[in-house]
Amino acid sequence: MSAVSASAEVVARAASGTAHSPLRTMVAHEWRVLRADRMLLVVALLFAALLGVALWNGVTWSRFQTRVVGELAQADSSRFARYADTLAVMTPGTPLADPFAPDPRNPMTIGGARGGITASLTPSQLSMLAVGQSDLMPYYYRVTTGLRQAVLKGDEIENPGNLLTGRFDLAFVIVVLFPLVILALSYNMLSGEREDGTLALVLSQPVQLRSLIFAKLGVRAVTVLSIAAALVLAGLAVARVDLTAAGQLSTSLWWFAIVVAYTAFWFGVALVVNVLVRGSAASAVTVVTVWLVLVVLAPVLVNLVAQARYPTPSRVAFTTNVRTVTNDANKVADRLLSKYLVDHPELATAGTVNMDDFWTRTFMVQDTIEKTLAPYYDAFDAQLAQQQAVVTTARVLTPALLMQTALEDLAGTGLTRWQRFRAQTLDFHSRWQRFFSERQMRQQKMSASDLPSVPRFTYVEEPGTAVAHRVLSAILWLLLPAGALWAFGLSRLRRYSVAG
Amino acid sequence: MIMTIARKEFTEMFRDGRVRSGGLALLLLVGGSLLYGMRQTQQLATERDTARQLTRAHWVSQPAKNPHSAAHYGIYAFKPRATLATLDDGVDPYVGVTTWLEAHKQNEFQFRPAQDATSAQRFGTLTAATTLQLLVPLLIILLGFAVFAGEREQGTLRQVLSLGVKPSVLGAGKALGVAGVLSLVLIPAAVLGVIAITGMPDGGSDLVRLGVMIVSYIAYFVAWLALTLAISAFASTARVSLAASLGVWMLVCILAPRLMTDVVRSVHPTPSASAFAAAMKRDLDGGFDGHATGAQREKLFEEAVLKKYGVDSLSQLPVSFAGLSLHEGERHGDEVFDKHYGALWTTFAEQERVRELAAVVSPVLAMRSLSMALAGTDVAQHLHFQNAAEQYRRSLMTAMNGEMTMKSKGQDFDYKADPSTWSNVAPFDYEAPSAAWVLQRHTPAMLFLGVWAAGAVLLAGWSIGRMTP
Repeated sequence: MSAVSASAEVVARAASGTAHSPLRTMVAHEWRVLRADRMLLVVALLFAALLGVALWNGVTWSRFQTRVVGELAQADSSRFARYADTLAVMTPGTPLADPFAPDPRNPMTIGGARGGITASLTPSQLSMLAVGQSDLMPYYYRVTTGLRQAVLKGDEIENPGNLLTGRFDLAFVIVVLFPLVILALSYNMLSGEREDGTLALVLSQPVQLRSLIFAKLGVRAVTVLSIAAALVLAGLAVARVDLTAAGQLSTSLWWFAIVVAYTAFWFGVALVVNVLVRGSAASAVTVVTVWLVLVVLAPVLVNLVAQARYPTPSRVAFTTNVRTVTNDANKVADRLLSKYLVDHPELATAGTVNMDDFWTRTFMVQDTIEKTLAPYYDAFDAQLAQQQAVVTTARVLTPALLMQTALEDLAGTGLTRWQRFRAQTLDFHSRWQRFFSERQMRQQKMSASDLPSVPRFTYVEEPGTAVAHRVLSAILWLLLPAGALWAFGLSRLRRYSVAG
Repeated sequence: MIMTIARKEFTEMFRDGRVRSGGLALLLLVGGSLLYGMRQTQQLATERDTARQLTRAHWVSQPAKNPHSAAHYGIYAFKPRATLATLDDGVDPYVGVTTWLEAHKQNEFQFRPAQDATSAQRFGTLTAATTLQLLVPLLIILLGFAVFAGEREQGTLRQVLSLGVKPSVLGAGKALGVAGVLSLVLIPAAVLGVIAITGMPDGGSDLVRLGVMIVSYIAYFVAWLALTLAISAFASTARVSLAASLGVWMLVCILAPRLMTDVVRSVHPTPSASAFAAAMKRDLDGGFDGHATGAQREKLFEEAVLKKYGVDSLSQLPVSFAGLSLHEGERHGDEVFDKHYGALWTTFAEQERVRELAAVVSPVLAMRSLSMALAGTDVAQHLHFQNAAEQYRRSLMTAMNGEMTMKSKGQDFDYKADPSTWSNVAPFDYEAPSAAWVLQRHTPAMLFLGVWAAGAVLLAGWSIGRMTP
């Protein structure tokens, strides 16, 4: 038995006095034992293979999205080039016969449903690190002068069966499987040696139980972390991520830092289970139960509580409400103008607003609809914020959720970046609407020189420090329970009975 | 003899505090998820019934207007909530709840509930189904891992076998003992489930589905129980038995489903939404050959109509050319939609088929697919609803364009139809597919589940028969 021989070696070396320091010897032997054990090889190979597959999936998905965003930008710029060509040869003076004609002198040709522009969220350089919510949330919107509700639709095509299960991405490997790897390697560090009868033998030498457990934990931690680090670095290299570019290096370092914190937490769990639970089989049942509760059940229950406590207003009722509101607004369209002009005095002085214009009426109606629906949108966002608050409050109970959110944050595929993108899109939508509606209502035609002043969307990234701040807080919330587990485990270690 | 062994196992396990608390926790989870599911189902059903009536009222109360204008106004279709979704909400959080049925367009479904949630949503939802699929197997492992391996370690296995007990009898007794403890959790859970379902309005109509669901879950648990016993008979120590069973559970329940997502996506890739929309637009604008412009096709159509009615000009037509032309537009659109959505939905179906075939390596995939299908919350039944909504849209458009064609003349859009026209259109009444429809499509899943159960029982019999004391 490898454990016996290695421990015997510790004994022999310690007896002959050739050891450098006991800790170093123990680390060296623990490493040898682990290496000789097929368990480590199998687990390490499986873990490495899964990391590789997950990284590949992340890279593939990131490339897919980047390509789509590129194609859409290309389509927009060639359409704008066509407008420019057409406008260059057109005489601006001739009146438009048909307000619906696809004529770029007509502002609504460019701004309306037939025109429009794409607002897109390019995957970040490190998006391969987590697919996150990016398979579920739209990563581009078609912005037109239409209603907010019409702009905010358009999902990427995906089989709902795939969304239900989720992708096999790096975050899944780290959040869900990595703890299992840690626990599989360390659930019986003490009980195993005791059952083999080697623990008493080793501790009969001038070696402390504390140093022994540090050696065992240290070797395991360094092994699993090196595998993860090596593969992720290889992944970054394969995906040609330029670590010297702004922010990439610090993001990668934050990634490693939080993975280390998560590792510390799970080794803390392993330590406590080792100290408290006597038999190996009982330890195995205990670690699996802890994993199950923390990784599988806790996030689900937190979500359930959040949704049951703060349900979002019904989208179904919303759909029919929009129709009722639209019907009502259409009925009083003629009376809407004076109200509208109160909010837009610049148009009142221009004196060119013509209520017979189809588009003018449309804008009036839309404006009323949006104003009527605003409380609904606010209520919706408020309830979601409350749900998020529940999740945030529960973070110390849900290290898995904490970790998942932080990894998504670092990869730029989480809800924070997406919500920011959506908010910026809505902002851009109002600018776009204002630009074209004002021109249309003043009956001002577009000319080639106007094209550069048409609003363009660029997503403004959150400052890197904000992300770092959230990740740091996640790290602290992981280290807090980790520290408690370690402190408790080490203090109970003194009372650990080696015999029996 | 079998009963004696079973009684001994039962008593021993039941006295184990871990088993009792595990069982109790499981029962609480099933009970809690059932209550939440019932609340959800009732709430969603009411909300959607109200919306359905409201959208109908909107449609019926339209003033006199041109039928094509009414066609543009359209109707909303709301996806009904299946009663059995109480047990398994399947893909429901990931599919839209409503679509707008309007002229010229087959719209996508909107508002996927999962998009309006926190990131915790992606860890899954708590339903009776997830509890049964993931957690009950764990309880089975907890109950059964030491059944043989533990006795072997303690030396009692040798003693028992020396008494002349046949291994098969011993195995059957132990299996019954474990099943007895398990039934303390599962029978109350099943009773709760049946009460929850039959107590709901409309619940009685789903009894066949519910019955098949219960039988499938029993087969699934038999597979896990037999597999656990087989491993326990093989393993040298209880620790090895536990590690092996848990390893299988991880691979089968946690790893396999996720890995399959990326496998099915790469075996049957779906197009990007923008490429899909562009291809559809190309066919809509240019016809299938991609050459004829809309104007050219309209010219050809005009000639054909004139010829058919034997007149020289549109003004001489006894019917409305605008109506005919709109109808022709819808017909062409329908062909294009059928081509593109047909291909896309076939890809989805193929992805689901590959996922189901992977049940060869993971019984949970078969169980999951079957459970969702029986609950009426799988991809196929969502597409069934989407298709029904689209067919209704087409009948609505045919009615509106027919009204236009027969009651109006020439190119005229000034014709205003009487408000009674709107109420003459039948409301959209969706009928969910029958249990037979579902079962027919999931023969492979049932087969795999049966093979898993039977195979695991055979394996257990074999390994128990030749186990070394």
